[in-house]
Amino acid sequence: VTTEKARDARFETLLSDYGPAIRRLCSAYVDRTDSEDLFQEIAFALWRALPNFRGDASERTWLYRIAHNVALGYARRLRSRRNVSADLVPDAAAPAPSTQHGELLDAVRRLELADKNIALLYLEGLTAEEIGSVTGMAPGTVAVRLTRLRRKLAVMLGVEQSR
Amino acid sequence: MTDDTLQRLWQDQPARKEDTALLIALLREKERGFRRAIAADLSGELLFALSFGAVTAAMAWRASTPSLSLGFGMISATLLVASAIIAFWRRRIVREPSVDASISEHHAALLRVYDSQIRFLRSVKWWYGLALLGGGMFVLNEAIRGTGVPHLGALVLVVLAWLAIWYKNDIREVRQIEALKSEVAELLRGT
Repeated sequence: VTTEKARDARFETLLSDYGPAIRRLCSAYVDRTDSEDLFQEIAFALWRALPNFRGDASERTWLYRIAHNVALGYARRLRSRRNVSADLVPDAAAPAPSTQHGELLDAVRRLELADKNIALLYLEGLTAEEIGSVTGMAPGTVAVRLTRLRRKLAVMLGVEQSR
Repeated sequence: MTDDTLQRLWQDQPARKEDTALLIALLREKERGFRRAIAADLSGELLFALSFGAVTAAMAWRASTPSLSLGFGMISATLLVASAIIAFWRRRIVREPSVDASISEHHAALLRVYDSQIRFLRSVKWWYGLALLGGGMFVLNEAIRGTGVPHLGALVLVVLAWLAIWYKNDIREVRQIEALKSEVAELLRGT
């Protein structure tokens, strides 16, 4: 019972710290109708993995590894079921959001899968080393990819890039 | 646009208050459902083999000649042994790799799992095929000699079941896994 309570408490802390980030991740990988389902899949994977978390990696990278692996798998299964080959199943029915955040979300959703996870980690404020730890890429490669990605996002958003 | 501006633009959104108590209750239920789903999948495989095993066992019992009894008995026994072996391997092979590895490690492991699944699915027909090759020869022999004609129907049924297993595993499921595998390989090349 104590272990269960400790697991619950830890899960609650995780969710209060990273819940909004996981929600944003879900909205970038799948459309609005599947977003809640994906959120629960990620929560379930975290819930199951929590007893095995020994702190070898930072909690943040551990969480993002799980979230992205589950999201990529979920999107893959979704596409396989719907038999489409795009990098995302975009919500065709949803009008393009007119806010700046909406435009950024739109741009991220249009990225290829391999770019999307790096973009999302960068937007959540992870360092190149942390992104490397989540993706398995060398930090140098991450830095190069990030430069290209920032440029790509700036073009997609139609803004000047100052850095 | 600076890094800070982009990151602020991305992160500064009204956060939704999560109902963690409800979510935890839901996850507990999902965990129970998950275990039940795996068990159901395995028992489905066993049930299928048991049904055919029972039909052929009944044919063995009712057979008019010892040779026919032996044939159907062999089919029945091999079906049971094959299904037990298949259920055991399926249980090991359906496990997806750990999701807390890095994305590229996870996907490399996923490719290995897909390869094992394809190899396994392609081997299923041979396990069940043993049942037909072993006992089926006796039954066919009797049928050709004219003593086991009524039993030919049962043999045809078993052959049709074998064809259905072959189609389900070798064609349908392998095709689905191949599609997933090529997508994972593509993603792995990008990381």
